Amino acid sequence: MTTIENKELEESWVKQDWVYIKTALILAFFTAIEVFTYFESVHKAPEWLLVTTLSFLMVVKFFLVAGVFMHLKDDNSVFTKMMTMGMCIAWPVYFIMAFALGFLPDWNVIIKVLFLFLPPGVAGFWLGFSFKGGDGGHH
Amino acid sequence: MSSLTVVLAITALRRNDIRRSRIWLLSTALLGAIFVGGQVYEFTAFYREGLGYTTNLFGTAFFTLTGFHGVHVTVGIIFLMSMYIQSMRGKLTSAQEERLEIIGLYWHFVDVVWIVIFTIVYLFPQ
Repeated sequence: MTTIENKELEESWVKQDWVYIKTALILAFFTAIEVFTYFESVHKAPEWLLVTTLSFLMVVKFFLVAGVFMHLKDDNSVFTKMMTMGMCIAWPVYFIMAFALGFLPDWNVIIKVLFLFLPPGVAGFWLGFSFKGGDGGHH
Repeated sequence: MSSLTVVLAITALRRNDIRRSRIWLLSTALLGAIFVGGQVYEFTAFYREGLGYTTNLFGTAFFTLTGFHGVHVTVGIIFLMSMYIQSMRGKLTSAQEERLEIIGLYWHFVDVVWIVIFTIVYLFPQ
């Protein structure tokens, strides 16, 4: 390997490390927001708003770790789609159980339905449109 | 943070920087050990205050979820330390990077599970 190639390789490694460091800083920032909601003044906010915000941050953090640290963004997109499909199923299943067992506040039924099915619905639409159809022929 | 240190260990090993790779491996194991230590403290404090495994539904769910997570972190620390020992014996070089990559994936998986547990168990208003 030539000196120039070595230098380029070294630069790409440094660049990659910086991507990881920046991701960790973003994750730390989101975690700080999450912990901030624990303070009493914020904790008095409407429960549906708190749960929705925390759930959103949770999903974003989940995808950041999976996408960058577990390099899902560099892998074949079918893996991202498989993970999203799993999340679409896990979200309503988990939260229906949480509502049934009384782990979450007893909200208005419309908010409950929106909370349960809107996020997986949006993700489901994205999945549906992201699959590229063939020419309709059988191979 | 430990997800960062484990990827830095992997990238250091990839460029054959064994010394840095060892430092990051140890840092990751140490962060994991701090986490498990915190859990032991938390479990003991809760138990002394009257929240046991069979006290109520919350106690059962809490100790099962966080306890299983602690076990997975402990297994991860054992994996990381075995990599560290292999590295000290000269058996972990850039040629064996895949081993560390797989352990890194395990560690990140444990991390994403904690992201969910932390939000649901600790932060959601009850």
